[in-house]
This record gives sequence, C-alpha cells and structure tokens, in this order.
Amino acid sequence: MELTRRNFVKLGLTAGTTLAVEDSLGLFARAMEMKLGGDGRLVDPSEDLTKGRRYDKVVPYTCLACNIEDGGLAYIKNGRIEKLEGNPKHPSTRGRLCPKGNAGLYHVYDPDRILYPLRRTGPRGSGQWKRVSWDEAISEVAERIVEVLDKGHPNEIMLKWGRNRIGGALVRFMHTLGSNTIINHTSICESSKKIGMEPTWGPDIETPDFAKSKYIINFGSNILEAAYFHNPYSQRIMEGFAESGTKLVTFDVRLSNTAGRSHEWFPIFPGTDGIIALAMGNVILQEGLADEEFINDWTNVTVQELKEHYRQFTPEDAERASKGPFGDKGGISRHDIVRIAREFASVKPYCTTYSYRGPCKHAYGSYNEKCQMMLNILVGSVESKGGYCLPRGMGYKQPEPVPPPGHEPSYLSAPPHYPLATHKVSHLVPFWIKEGRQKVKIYFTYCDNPVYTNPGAEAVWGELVRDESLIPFFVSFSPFMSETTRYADIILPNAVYLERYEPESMPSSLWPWLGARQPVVKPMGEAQEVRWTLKRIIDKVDPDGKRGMKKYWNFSSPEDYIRQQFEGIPGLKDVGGWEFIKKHGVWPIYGELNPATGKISDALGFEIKAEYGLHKKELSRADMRGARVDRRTGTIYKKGKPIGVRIKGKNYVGFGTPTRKIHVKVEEWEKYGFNPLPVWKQEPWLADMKPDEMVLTTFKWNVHTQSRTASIKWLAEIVHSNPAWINADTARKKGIKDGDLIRITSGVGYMVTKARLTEGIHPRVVAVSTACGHWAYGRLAQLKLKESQPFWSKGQRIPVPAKPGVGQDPDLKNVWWNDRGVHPNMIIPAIADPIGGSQAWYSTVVKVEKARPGDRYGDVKADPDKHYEFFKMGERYAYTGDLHRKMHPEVKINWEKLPKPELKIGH
Amino acid sequence: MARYGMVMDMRRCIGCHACEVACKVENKVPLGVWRTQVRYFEKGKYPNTRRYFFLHICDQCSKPACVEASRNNGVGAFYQTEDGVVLIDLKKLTQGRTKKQIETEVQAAIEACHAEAIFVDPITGLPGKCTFCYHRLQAGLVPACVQTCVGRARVFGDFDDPNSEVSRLAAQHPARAMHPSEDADVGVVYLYQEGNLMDGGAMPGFRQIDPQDFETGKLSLNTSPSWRPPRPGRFGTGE
Repeated sequence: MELTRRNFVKLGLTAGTTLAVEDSLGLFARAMEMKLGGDGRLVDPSEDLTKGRRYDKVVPYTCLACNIEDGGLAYIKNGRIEKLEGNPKHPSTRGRLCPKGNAGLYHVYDPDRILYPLRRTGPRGSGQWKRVSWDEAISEVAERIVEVLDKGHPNEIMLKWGRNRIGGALVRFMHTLGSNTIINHTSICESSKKIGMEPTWGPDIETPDFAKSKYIINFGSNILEAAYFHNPYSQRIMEGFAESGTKLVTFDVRLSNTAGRSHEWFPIFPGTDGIIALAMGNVILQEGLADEEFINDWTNVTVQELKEHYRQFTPEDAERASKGPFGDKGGISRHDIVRIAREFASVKPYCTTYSYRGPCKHAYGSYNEKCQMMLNILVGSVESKGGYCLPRGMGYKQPEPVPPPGHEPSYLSAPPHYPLATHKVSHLVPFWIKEGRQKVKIYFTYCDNPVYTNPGAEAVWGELVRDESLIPFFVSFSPFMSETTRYADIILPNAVYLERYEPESMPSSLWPWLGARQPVVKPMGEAQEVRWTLKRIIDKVDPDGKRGMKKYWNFSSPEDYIRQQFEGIPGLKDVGGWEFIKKHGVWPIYGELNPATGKISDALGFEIKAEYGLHKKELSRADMRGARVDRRTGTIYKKGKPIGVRIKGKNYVGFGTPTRKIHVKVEEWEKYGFNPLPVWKQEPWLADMKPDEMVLTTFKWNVHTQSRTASIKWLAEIVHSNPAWINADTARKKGIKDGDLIRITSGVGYMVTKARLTEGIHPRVVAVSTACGHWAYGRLAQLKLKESQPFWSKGQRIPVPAKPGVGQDPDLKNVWWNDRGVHPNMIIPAIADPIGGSQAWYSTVVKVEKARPGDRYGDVKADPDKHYEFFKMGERYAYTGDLHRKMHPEVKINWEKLPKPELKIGH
Repeated sequence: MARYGMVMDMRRCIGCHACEVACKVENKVPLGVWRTQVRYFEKGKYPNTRRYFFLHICDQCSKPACVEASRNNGVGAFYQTEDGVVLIDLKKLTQGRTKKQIETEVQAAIEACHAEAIFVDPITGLPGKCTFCYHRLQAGLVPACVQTCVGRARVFGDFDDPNSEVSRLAAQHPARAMHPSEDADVGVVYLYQEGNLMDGGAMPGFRQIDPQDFETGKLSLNTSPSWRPPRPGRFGTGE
C-alpha cells in the first residue's frame, strides 16, 4: 500500500498510540496554524496598522447579550473594553460569540445609558426627571415598602422580571419581604414548551446531540438565528452538516435562515406542527418502525395502546391541515409525511427533533410540543448518541439562610384557573390587576420591557402602568430608558452585564458547566449592580434586624455574595472554588480548544466524549438500602420519594417523573379535562378564518433580542427596519407591490407598515419582526440622533470628545439608514394556552390591504377595550371556562366534577 | 514562504453576521463601510425557496490590481506582503503629499478593484480594506472574523503548506475564487458557493458598499427581494 498522507492519517487514527509520532511529522491537519484568539493582543489604530500590541488585561465573563450564556473574554486597555471574544475554555460555545455577543461592549458604552438614580418630577411618562442620590432614592423606596408591610399585605409588592439571570437574588428579595407576587416573562417566551415536556420526562428542555445526529426534524425553530441555544447548537448543526452528513428538515411558516439552510423546508399553516408529528408517529407505529422495547419498558403506555390512539391521525388529515383552511400552496403532502417518517426512523436512534419555539406559541401549544417530542420517544432516540438528550445542568448554591416564601397565596403569580401553567401566565397580569383580582401597591420591574415586548404593548401594559390608581408606585432597575421604564417613579440603574457578578449555568451542550459574570470594568457613572441595591433596600427597611429580614442579606459585597454561591461545590472546591471561576470563567475545563478542529480535545488530541443514557445509570447498593419497589409500575421508592425504576431486573435512576418512567399519558392533565395523550387542537379562530383573512406571526433576527439591542450601532446597521413579509402571489392578488405601504388590521387595532414581497412565506401568513420600531428606547433605536444626549448619560469617560448632536460616539453621525421600523405587538391580542399558559403569538387573524388615504408609515392604533374583550374570550378556553369541554369532546371524565379553582402558594 | 489565505466553507455558514461585527469592533470600522460583510440571497419560487449567503471580503489577489493602480497613480502606498496580504501604508500615502495626490491614488486603487473591497473611512478620510487582521497574524492569531465564526465556515491558514487545513479543504471540495478572472493563487477560496451569485454582474452584492443600495432594497444585509438567475450572456460582463 502506498503510504499517502490520507492513509497514514487513517492508520494513525485507528492506532491511536502512534499519535505522538504523527504529530511530530506534522501530518495532522493544521487548520488554523495560528491560535483561535485568546492571547490578548490588539491593534492600536493610532500606530502603524500592522503592529500588534498587548492589552492591559483579559477578564473572563459569561455573555448576557441574549440568554444563551456564551463564555467570553474581555480585552481591556486603559480601563476600557476594546474587544470581546469567546472563551476557548467553554465546553459549549468553544471560543465563539454570535454578533450580539461581539457587539456587547456597546451595552456599556451606549451614549444614552442611565448613569444615576432618577426621580420623576412631572406626570408619569412626561419624561421629566431629576437626578437624586442613591441614598435619597433607596430611602424613598424603603419608605413605600414599609408602608405596605405595616398594613399586613406584603403581596401588594409585585416584582416582574424579563431576563432574570442574577442567581436567585430577586426571589430572595421578594421572599424576604414576605411577598409571593413574583412574575416572570416565561409566558411570552416558551412556557407551553416547558409544560409540554415537564410532566412527560421531568426537565423543561432538551439538549439534542446535533453534531452526531443523522436526521433532525425541526418544528418551527429558528435555531440558526435565535432560540435556545443558538450559538452552541448552530456550531453543532453545521458540524453535523459537514462531518456527519446530517439531514435537516424544517417546518416553518417563514423562510428563516434555518429554513433556508435546511435540506428540506415545508412552509406549513401556523400551528399545524402537532398534527404532522402525530401523522408521522402513526406511520412509525403502524409500519413497525418504532422502538417497541423502549416504549414498553420505559413509558407508562404500551405499544398497543399507542397504535390504537395514533390510528386516528392520518397523513391525509395532516396534509389538509398543513395547507391551511383554504388549501393553499405549500404545506406538506401525505407522501412526504410518510417518507420523512420512514427516513427519520430508519436512522434511529441517531435522530432527533427540535422545536424551540414555534409550535408551542399557540393556544394549544402544550399539545403541539408533546406531539413532536413523542417522535423521539417512539423511535427510542431519547438519551442516545445523536438523539434527543436530557439537559445537563449544574447547580450553584443559595447562601444560607434562605428566606421562606410568603404566607399568602398570590393570584397574579399562581392564577387558579390555569393550574397546570406552573411557569405562570405573566402576559394576562394587567387584566387581572385591572379587574381587581389582586391589588398591587408597588411594582418593581427588572430587565423587562413589557410595554414593548408583551401582546398589546402600550394598549395593555401601557394602560396599566400609566394608571397611578392601579400601580401607585413604580420602580425600575433598568440601565436604559425604555417604553416601560419611562413610566417609572424611580429608576435605580443597574450595572450592565459586563459590570456585575452573577453565577451562571445552562444546559447548552452535553457537557455541563458552571460559570459566572464578573465586572470586567467598573460600572459606569453611579450604576450599581442590583444585588447590592436590593441589599441596601433591605438594610433600610429593616435597619436593626427587628423585622427578621437582615439576616438573609449577610453579604459584605457583591463578590462576597457570589463567593458564597460557589462555596462547597464538590470538585470545584478542590480547584479553588470561586477563585477558579473568576480566573477561568468556567468550570470544569474538559480539555483544550483544538484550533485544527474547533472542538474541545482531550490530552491525546481527540474530541472529548459525551456521556449518554443518563436514565440508565444504575442505582448502587447503598441507594437501594431501605428502598421499596412498586410491583405494578417498577418504581423504586425511598423514604416515600421515587428514586428510580426497576426494569428487567435492573435498578435504573430513570426520568424525573413520579414513576421515573416517561409519562406519555399525563394523568394530571386529564384531571382538568385535558387530553392526557398527545393530540392536536387547532384554535377555532384559525379554523374559522374567512378567505380574505391572514395570520400575523412575528419573528426574531439573528442580530437582535426582543428589546435590548436596537440601540447597539453595529447590530442596528444590519437590521433596523422590519417590513412585513408577504408572499409575492398573495400580494399580487391584493395589488400590493414591494415596498408599498400596507395596513394590517387585527381584532384589536391596526398598523401601517411597508410590504416586503418574498417567495419565502406561506401565502396565508404575514410576518413582522419584533426587533424594530421602538418609540421610547435610545436615540439610535428611534432614529432621533439630532436630539441632544440625555442628562442622565453625561459624564461618561469616553476616549473621544463629544460632538454636538450625536452624543459621545462620533461614529453615530455615519448612521446611513432612515427607517426605524414599526412594532407589531400593539395589535396582537393577549391569549393564553389553557394548559401551559403561553401567549398565542402565532395565531392572530388579520386583514392585509393597501394603505388607505391618510395612512402614514408607522401609524399603530389599538383599542384597550378590544384587548380586554379578547382577553375575556381567551379565558373561556381555560379549564374553568365554558368552551373548554366543547374543545375536548373526546375526553371521557366526569365533567361535573372538575377540581375547583384553588388559590395556592407557589408555582 | 507562507501564502496566507482564507477558505469560506459555505456548507457551514449560518449567515449570523458574527464575523462582520467582530471585524468592525476589532478594526474600529465605522458605520457605512465594511471590510467584510454577510449578504443574503433567496432563490426559487415558493414553496421551493432556499436562502444563500455570500461572504464579501477582499480577495487578497495574487496580482492585486489595486497595488498596480496605486503605483501607477501615486507612490504605491498599496502593497502586498511577502505572505500575500494586501495592505495600505498610510504613512507613505500621506506624508508630504497633497490632498489631491492622496485622493488620486486612492481613487485609482478603488476603481481597479473588481471586488470593490476598498473604501474611504468616513471618520479619518483615509482608505481602508481587509488586512486579514495583519496585526493579529503577526501576534500568532487568526483574523477576528475567523476567530468568532460560529459555524466554522471561515478557515484560515497557509495555502503554501500542502498539509494545512485550507489546502486540504480547497483540494478536496468544489472550490472557486469569487471572481472568474482570478487565478489559482487567490487568497480567498469559496467552497460550495452558489456559483451564479458570484459571477460578475449577476450578483447585485458583488458591488461594494453604497448604503443607498440597502435603502432601495437592491442590496440587503438581511434579506433581499427574491433573486433569479440572470439570462445567459450576462455572465462575466461585470456590469
């Protein structure tokens, strides 16, 4: 055999031990002879362009430009962040950042940032402010809190966050005060996905092994642009494309980058993912392609039961549904359904689905989620290499003592008519407050902009926060003026994510990790990280400890707080605890980033191996001591708690469910009249659409988050406007040309925007991105660059002198675009999935027409009363509502004996 | 001697713009001009539609027309390093020269470039272009766009080394230079690039950097009106 380079390498790879020899011969691919960054050098433009120069220091951090939590390194020169790069030690993100992460330093240097505490001086929303001292601001907040506490109803203090990655301090603060009125943002995000998954297998998310997968069916996820976990998952899908021959099939109403890069794209009618997945499941079951052993051993149903249940979902029905009520072009044919089901099952278990997060954003989104998850269960690709794996997380601690929850149940936090929606129903909160279902005296807003990001926007949340009788005192922690924060009474500006301490962990790959944020530079102006602000508030509320609150805030500094969180963690302790994370940014370090492959390598140069089959870990003898096995289900109990499951004589840890098996059948759902098995329900308003109506959906761009990035200049340069995508054929029929002004009218209002004609969207769908169209964010987002810099931003130390009219970044005079976009949320009604509580973002019925005389670009009008009507209509589908039973004729229970709605503490 | 080069493995590009932003931050490139750029194209008729990306960057040609033009119309401030990178010597360009002389030389270089990869920085008034982050190369680091590339579509290395990853990729996959007139020794090679998108005149994005094009929708950083193949005969005309 001729010893070509190729043969040699192949030989070497199988032999393994010859590695050292090979390496010395230089036969390994040397992709990037140079390193992938990380040495702390930069160019100084004031010098010769070709000379490198060292930075002063490099500080590791965890990104929070969005919520993927990439590992990063900040390069600092003269106290200023010059560059952000990925942290090569991070096992998930492997040294790379997305565009938002690369642009992250502009969060710090945004010329409109709030640098001092502000007190409102004019009427709410008037934009009249005065600078106050921290002491004054905190004293006022503390006084208002004491007033509420002394009347005995701490629940009247509400805190709602959008992005809470501060490691538990917000809940600690609220529980310290005795309030349970803690509201998140999950219902406008992915809550019905979580609810579709949790009762089935325990965790609220999956971590597919994309890189090793042969076949990915993607239901409505734009994973190459946004979604959990965009950066690390994109890396691995591309790895699959180039190295494993992975096939990607995407169902999406719109040609996203993900759909556009898929091997096959099926433009389906909104929300029909569920019926397609069910029909595919039917094919897999009837043709004997399922992993029957896995189903019988590991689930709470039998193959026979499933076959009978699935028989009703035919490819013919799915085809019909996928085209929409008017049989439009597109959708998926019955032949393709059968073919894809066969292809998917033929490579089992190296196959997986993904769904973050189109299917679940419908009124019965929880069912949709369950349906697509079932495909993995049917072919047994759960926890297999290349398959649908459990998330691998890691925990940090909450410093002791931890305050217990408050005594009173909160309606807003745990609405009794949505008992299964354990991630709350945040977007309906304004209506409930308005109806007096719970009183609120103080509203704290943290990293949240509901007046922009929630359905109804100004017409719902704006209506709430403008009304001082409903929200008598409104406090914002935001470092940026926003559509929401502008209504605040007091602003206590937080440090931005590169300036504060926060513990972090995300199941963003098959390698679990712990990481942290730390101030890579000192906070600008008087900005102060919110943990410290909260402690100062508590210190003021309970100065002598008599209220029993002070003991929960026993930290000498923000760093002391985080140090306590990383104390005593097995493994981490041995390498130095917090100090290790501070130095490296992440723990554990699994290996070194191999510049030749872009993967993490072990000491021998091979990619580190992931662990699979977590559910099949066997219990030890010690675990089994004193345990009891339920003979019928095989569940192993210890001290009354399920700890595993016995299958064919072996004791496995199993899944995080009450029986430790996968619950295909969710009995808890049936109790409330929902179908316990995977089914598909279409929103009646979509089924009953009229021929001249369309469905409005929204979407994210790869360079933007919901609301925090429109003022980041490098990102705004790429995407700054959001014309409505409309199918070219549909537009032609309506006489609409590319760039024409159009009016989109929903049941609650209308907007006037521009049309973008495309071949990349279902003919019955109009899509508008939520990234643009700010009306009260930074000057760049609003394109009000002629206005002078707000006084609350002055005093920033920036290396270039300010020029009049353009704040302190001279580059802003190079802004070349003149379109800021039009935001659609105001005309989208607030409707919740009766199971998971999620906002039905993708099922707004609208009419689209050419703009009427007098319509101007950017007109958006919505009627708060109409919003209220839609809210009332949506509640009729809740399990307590009159339409619930009508939607579930197949559920055979005693409908007269549904559980009574109960006010409970918790979720 | 090394021949530094970049392979754009278009199988792996997700169009995320990380390269573009990393470049702007690393090299302090102002708004309105770009050293490298991600452009989008949609192809096909609904429902058979697909999206393609194109990564615009200086080719680092083997016989750079800009270098020749700069020599013929000035002092030759544009030059090629021994390892193949085309750079601008700003001192040479500006020292002791009139504004008019500088402008003439820069304009000649800009016009000579088939990729329109050279621009005038609106803040400094001086020419700029991709340097492969030469300051980083000298420090042993890959260019910023390569460092951050999420899909690992951008691969950097030495084409003169037959064992390098760039040589291997270019040899083992369908590969081509951006411009049909480029010879084999070009510095940037594309794998699996949708061919028609790149041929002169056929690809609207071939031209660089008139922001007005983005406003009119002729060009787009995110999406553009559906693109259709040009009629035969228009290939390579550079119109």
